[in-house]
Amino acid sequence: MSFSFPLGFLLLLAIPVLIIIYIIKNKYKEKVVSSSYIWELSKKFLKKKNPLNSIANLLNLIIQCLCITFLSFSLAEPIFNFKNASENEVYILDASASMEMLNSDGSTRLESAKKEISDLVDKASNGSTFTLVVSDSNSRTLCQNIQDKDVFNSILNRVDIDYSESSLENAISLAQSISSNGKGSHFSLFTDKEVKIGEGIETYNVADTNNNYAISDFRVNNFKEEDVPYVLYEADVVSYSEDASLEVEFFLDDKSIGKVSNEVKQNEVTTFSLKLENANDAYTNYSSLKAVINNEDYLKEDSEYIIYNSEDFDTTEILIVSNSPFYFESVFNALNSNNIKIEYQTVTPAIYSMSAGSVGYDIVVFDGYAPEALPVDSAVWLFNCGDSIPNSGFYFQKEYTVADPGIKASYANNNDDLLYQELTKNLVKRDITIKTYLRYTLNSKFTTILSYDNLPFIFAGRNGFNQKEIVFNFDLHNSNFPLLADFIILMRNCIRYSNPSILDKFNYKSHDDVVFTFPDTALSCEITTPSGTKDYLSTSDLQSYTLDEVGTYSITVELANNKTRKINIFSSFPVNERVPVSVDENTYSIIISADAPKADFVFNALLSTLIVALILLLADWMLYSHEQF
Amino acid sequence: MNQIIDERFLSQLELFSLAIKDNVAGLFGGTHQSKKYGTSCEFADYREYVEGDDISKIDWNIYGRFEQLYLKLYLDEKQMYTKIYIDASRSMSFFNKGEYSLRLAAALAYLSVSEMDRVSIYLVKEHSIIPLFEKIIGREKFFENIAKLNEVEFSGDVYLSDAIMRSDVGFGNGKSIIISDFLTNNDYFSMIDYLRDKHRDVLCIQLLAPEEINPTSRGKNILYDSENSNKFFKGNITRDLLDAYKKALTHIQDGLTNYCGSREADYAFYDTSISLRELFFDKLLNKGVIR
Repeated sequence: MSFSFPLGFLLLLAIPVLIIIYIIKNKYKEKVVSSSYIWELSKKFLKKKNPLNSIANLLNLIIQCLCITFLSFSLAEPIFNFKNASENEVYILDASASMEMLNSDGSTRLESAKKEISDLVDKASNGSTFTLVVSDSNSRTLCQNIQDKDVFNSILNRVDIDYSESSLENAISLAQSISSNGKGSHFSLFTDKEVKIGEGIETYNVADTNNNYAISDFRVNNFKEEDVPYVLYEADVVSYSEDASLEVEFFLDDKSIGKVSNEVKQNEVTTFSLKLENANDAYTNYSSLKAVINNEDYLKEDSEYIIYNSEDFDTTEILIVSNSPFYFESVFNALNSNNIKIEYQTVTPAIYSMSAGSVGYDIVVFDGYAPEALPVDSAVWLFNCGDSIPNSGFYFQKEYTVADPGIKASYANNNDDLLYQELTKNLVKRDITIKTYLRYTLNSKFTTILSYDNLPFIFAGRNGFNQKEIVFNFDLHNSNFPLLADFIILMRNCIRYSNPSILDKFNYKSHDDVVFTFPDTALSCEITTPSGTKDYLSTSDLQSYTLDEVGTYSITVELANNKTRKINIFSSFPVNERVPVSVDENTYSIIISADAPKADFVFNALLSTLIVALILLLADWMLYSHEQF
Repeated sequence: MNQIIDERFLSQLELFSLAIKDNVAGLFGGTHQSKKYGTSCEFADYREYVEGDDISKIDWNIYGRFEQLYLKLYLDEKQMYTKIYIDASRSMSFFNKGEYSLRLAAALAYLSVSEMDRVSIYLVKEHSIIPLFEKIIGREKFFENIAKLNEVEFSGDVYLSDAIMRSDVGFGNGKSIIISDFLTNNDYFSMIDYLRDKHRDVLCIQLLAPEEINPTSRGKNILYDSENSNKFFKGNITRDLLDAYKKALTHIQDGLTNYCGSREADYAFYDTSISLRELFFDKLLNKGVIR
C-alpha cells in the first residue's frame, strides 16, 4: 500500500484536539434551576438504564475519531497494489487508407476500431498499462505503458487515417519488441484485413461492409481521324466486391462533358471511354479534367480522379536587351514549340537605358550591352558585356580578337558540380570556335561551364543581388555556337536553371514525395491540403513535401512583383488499400514469454475511505440527533 | 404592570365574572349567581353606560352635569371575599413566572372588584403569608393598591400549607386562588383540604415557563435548587432522562388534578408563554374559571 498525499495524515492531529475538547466538555456544568425537585423526581421515572447511554458520549468520541482517521486516509489517498493482477495491454491499430472505408453505421472503420479500443480501455482493471502501436506508412509506437486512461484515450483520439498502404508486418514486429522488452502481456490487433493470426494476438476485425468502386487510372489522348481532331478520355474502373453497372461522369474545368455507363465485372479493370470531337481546340485547353463514379459506395476517396494541366502557369517571361536579338528570338521560338512556354520581349539598349529598368521578368538578357545596374528581381544572362557592371561578380579587363580560325573553347571538366551537371545536361559538348572574346576577372564564386586556357568563357552562379546569373564572354555572332545543336539545349537548360518549373509532375499517389523547385523570385509557398489544412514551405532551393491525404492539394506560390502561381496537384488513393476485404497471407504471431511481467492491479481507496468516513459522520450525527431531539 | 393590564383589557374583563361554585355558602346567605351590583340601597360605584345596560339605572343628574351616561351601581348584599395567594418563593423569579403571576393576580383581583367583591392579595413566603392589600372593595381602591405589586420580591422557600393554614382564610364566603409553580415536595395538599373545610371555593393555578416544560439542557449537569442550595440534582441529562422529566411533570399535574378533583377544588396549569388576554378569554373561560 502506498499513499499519494502522505501529508493528508496531518489531519490525525485533530484527534488529540478532539479528545481534549471531549475531556473539557465532559465536565459537569453547574447551573441553578428554579427547582431541583422535579429533576430528582425524574429519576423515579427513568426507564431501566440503557448501558449505551452511559457510553453515548464516549461512543460519539470514538466515532468522531474513526471518522477523522478515515478522512485523513482519504486525504492521503491510499493505493493498494496487487502484484501481476492486471495486464500490460498493447493495442495494434491499423490506420492505413482502407480504414477510411465507411461501416454500415456510418462511421469509418478507424472510428469503429478506436471505439472498440476505448471500450476495452474503460473496462480494463485499474493498474493496467496501455501501449498503442499504429500501423500505417510508418508503423510506430504512439505511447507505451500509459496508466492514465484519459491520457491514453486522448492519444488514441488523435490517431488519424494515414492514406498509405498498411504495414502490419512492421507493426507486429514493433509489438514483438515490446513483448521482448517485457512491456506487454496482452496484444490486440484492430484491422479491416483478413489476417492469419498465430499465437499471442487477439484480432478484432472492424470491417462490416465491402462495397467499393474505384477509378484506378485516368488518361486523355488527342488524335486525328481523317484530319478530324478528337479527344479521348479513358477512366479505368474496378468494382472490388461484385459485378456492377456503373456510371462515370467526366468533367472539364468542373463542367460536365459527358457520362458513360458500363457493366463492370468484379475485380476486373473496365475502361470507360468518352470520345469527343475536338473542333476549334474546344477540349485542348483546360485547368483540370476529372472522372467521377456516380454510384454510391463505402469509400468516396477513390471514386474520383483528377488530372491538372500545368501549362497555364509555367510560362517564362524574358526581356531581351540587344541590338541584334536574332539568335535569341530564334532559339526562344524554337523552344516555345517544344514544351517550354516562353513569352519574350525585345528592346534595344538605348531604349532600356532610358527606361526605369526591368520589372517583373523572369529572365533579362543583356546582349553586347553592360547596364549601369543589374535588375534585382530577375535572373540575368550577360552576353559579351564590354564593361564592368556593379554587383555582377566580375570585372571587365580587355577585349581580345584572335586570328582565323579562332580559339576552340571546350567544356570544363566539372562533373562534380551540381550546377554544371544541370546546365550541361544532354549536351553533346562539342568545342566552340570563338574569334573575339572578353577577358573578365571573377570576384565571386562561379561555376565554369566553358573555358579556354583556364579562362572562363561561360560561367554561372549568383550575383550581388543573389540572383542567378549566366555570363557568356563572347558575342554569339563571333562564334559558331548558334550553329551547334548544343546551343538550343544549353539555352533550354539555362531557362530551366534561371526560371525552374516549380513542379514537374501533377498526379501522385498518396504518400508520394513532391519535390518543389522554387525560382529566386518565390517569396512564399502555401499548400492547402484536401482536408483544408494549410502548410507552408520554405522557398529556398529544393523542397520536398509528402502528400498525406487523398484529393486535390492547392499550392499558391507568391512571387516578387505581386505575381502569384497557383498549382493544383492530385493525390490518389493507394491502390492496394481500395480492396474492401483484403486478405493478408502472412501469419502474424507474437511470442510472449511465460514470465512476461504483468501490471499490478491498483486499487485507489480514496472513494472507499471517504464513504466510510461519511457513514461514520452520519452515524455520529444520528447518535447526536437521537440524544438531542 | 399598568402597561400590560391596560384599561382596555380591564374594561373587557368587566364583562366577565369569577365563577363561584353553587354550593359555596355565602356569608350573607345568598347565592353568587345573583351577586352583581345589586339592588340594595348602598351606593357602590359609577360606571359608564354600555349598550344593553338597564336604562332605568342611568343617573340623569350626572348626565345633566357631564352630558355622559353613567350607571349608578349599588352594593349587592351577597358580597364575596376573594383571597389570592401568590407563591413568592425564589423559584417563581425564574423566567417570567413571577411577573406573570402578579399580572394574573391583578387581573383576577380586578374581576372581583368589578363584581364589588372584597379582594385580598397575599404573598406566601416561607411559613407565613404577607398581605399586599386586604379587603379592598371597588376599582378606586384597587387602583390605589395595585402599585404594590411592583414591590414584590421573590425569594426563599415556601411552605404553602403551613403558611395558609396559619392565616385567617375565612369561612364559606368566597374564592381562594393559589398561584404557584407547585415545583416543591413541601406539602400543599393539606392547604386544599383546609380551605375546603372552610368552605372556600379553591382554585390552584400552576404556572410554568416553557423551559420548565421542555428543558433544553443536555449533558452532564449539576442543577442546584434556587430555594435551597443544599438541594441539587447531579446527572447526565439524556433523552431518556428528559422523557422521565416529562413523566415526572405529568405526575405532579395529575396529582394536583386528582387531588383537587376529589376535593371539589379547581386546578389549572398554564404556560407563561401565552398572553394574559389569551389566558383569560380562552383558557380560563373554557375551563369555567370565569364566565
